[in-house]
Amino acid sequence: MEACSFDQAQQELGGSNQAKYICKYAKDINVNTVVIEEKYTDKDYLIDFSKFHARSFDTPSTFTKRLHFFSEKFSTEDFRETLVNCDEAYLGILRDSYFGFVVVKPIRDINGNPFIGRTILKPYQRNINQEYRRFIHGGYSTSLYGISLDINSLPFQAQDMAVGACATAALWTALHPSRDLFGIPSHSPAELTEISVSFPHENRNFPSSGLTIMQMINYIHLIGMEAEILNIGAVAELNSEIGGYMVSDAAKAYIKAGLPLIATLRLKNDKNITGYHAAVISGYRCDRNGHVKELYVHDDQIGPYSRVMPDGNFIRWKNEWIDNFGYDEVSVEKLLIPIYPKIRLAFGHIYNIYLKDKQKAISEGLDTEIYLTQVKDYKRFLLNNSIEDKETILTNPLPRFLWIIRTYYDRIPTMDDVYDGTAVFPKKLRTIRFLH
Amino acid sequence: MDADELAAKVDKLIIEFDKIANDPETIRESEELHRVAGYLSPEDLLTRFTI
Repeated sequence: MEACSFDQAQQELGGSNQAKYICKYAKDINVNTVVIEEKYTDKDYLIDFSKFHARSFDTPSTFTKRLHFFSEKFSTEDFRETLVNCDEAYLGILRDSYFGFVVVKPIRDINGNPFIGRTILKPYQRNINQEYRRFIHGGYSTSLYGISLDINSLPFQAQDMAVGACATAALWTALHPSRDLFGIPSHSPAELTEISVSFPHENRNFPSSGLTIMQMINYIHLIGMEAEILNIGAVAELNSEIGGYMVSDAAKAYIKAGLPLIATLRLKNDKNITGYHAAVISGYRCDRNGHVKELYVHDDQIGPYSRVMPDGNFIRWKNEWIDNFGYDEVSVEKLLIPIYPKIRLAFGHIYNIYLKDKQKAISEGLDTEIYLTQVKDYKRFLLNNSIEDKETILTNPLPRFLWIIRTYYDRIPTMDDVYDGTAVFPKKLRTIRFLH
Repeated sequence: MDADELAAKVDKLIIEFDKIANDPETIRESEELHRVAGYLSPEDLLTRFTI
């Protein structure tokens, strides 16, 4: 066991692109001290080990190394004393300053750098001046030598091409929230690839040659979920303006419901070579008017919560792929959202109504937003707000899933149109008016 | 905008939004957008993500 400054701990991460990103990110969120847990048994890695690496001639270790990040500055001796004396006051300080962990696998990439395994890091600060950020996150508890540590985040890991490429990593990340929300099973990357490739294809399964959309959908169906598709490219061909808004509007709508979106990306370089990649939209930043200015993406080739700026709109992305990896164009082709089967009303089905409502609202000096929610969360929100007919609305039944078109004036809600999220066609249930 | 003015605008929007939700042309356009947004061609389905 060792506690050291973040600068001293950097070499443990190696020199992969993901390691470099995590170093930069950790500095951004003010990590000062790292506790290195030398022998950590990571369930995902252990399953991948048993399914693939255990039968390699050069068998790697079953143990990983885990690096725990803290903002508090302390030494190995300070930490040792805290452990031995169980100093509750100082343990409280450590818990408050905990920023998450990074698992470093004992296997290496083509350049000899260790693979970054399961990584759970605190997102950026939520409020910045008059702007705000929203992230997908769930509560994760971990134990460091008996010290309980909690973090709210969305897990990330880099691809280990032996057991899965970008699509596997994207599914692994995107389905984490649904484990708690809808009770779906958890699978390691190797298990996930194995289930996905039960839909046959012409390439070998392991080492992985990547997944097709069909195989990704196959996996989502086999774990009891549905795949919502938004073909952004096709919508943009039909109407470029609608296509331009759709990526950020869909991101806001689903992220508010706690559901990440898998973006399938076409990457092009100056030699006109095209590649296809998958990444997970895990958050966004809005200005004071609620307009999306930045997306945050769990990209297995970059890192967690990596920033994406729009190139005109969010169909075209400006991020590390252009700045650091030599590509000239990154464009979103499709959005794939794993959803619970009872969410039957698709975003693409209600979006036109939302756009028309928005146009009317703007002409009156107001604005709108659309989002998906569960009835328990929505009623909790209503309970804490002043609305007309409050008792009637709270005590009458509503479907489990709802689409809400909310109208604002100066960021204060004025009315909600409530649509049945479990219906096949858009069906307005009622309008709720806020009292001010 | 004062409170009365805002209330009047909200009254107006409630009526307008109801019209939009029940407008046959809006419903037709919604079905069209849903069909286009949800469609994957055979080539799309077989696109492999390898990076």
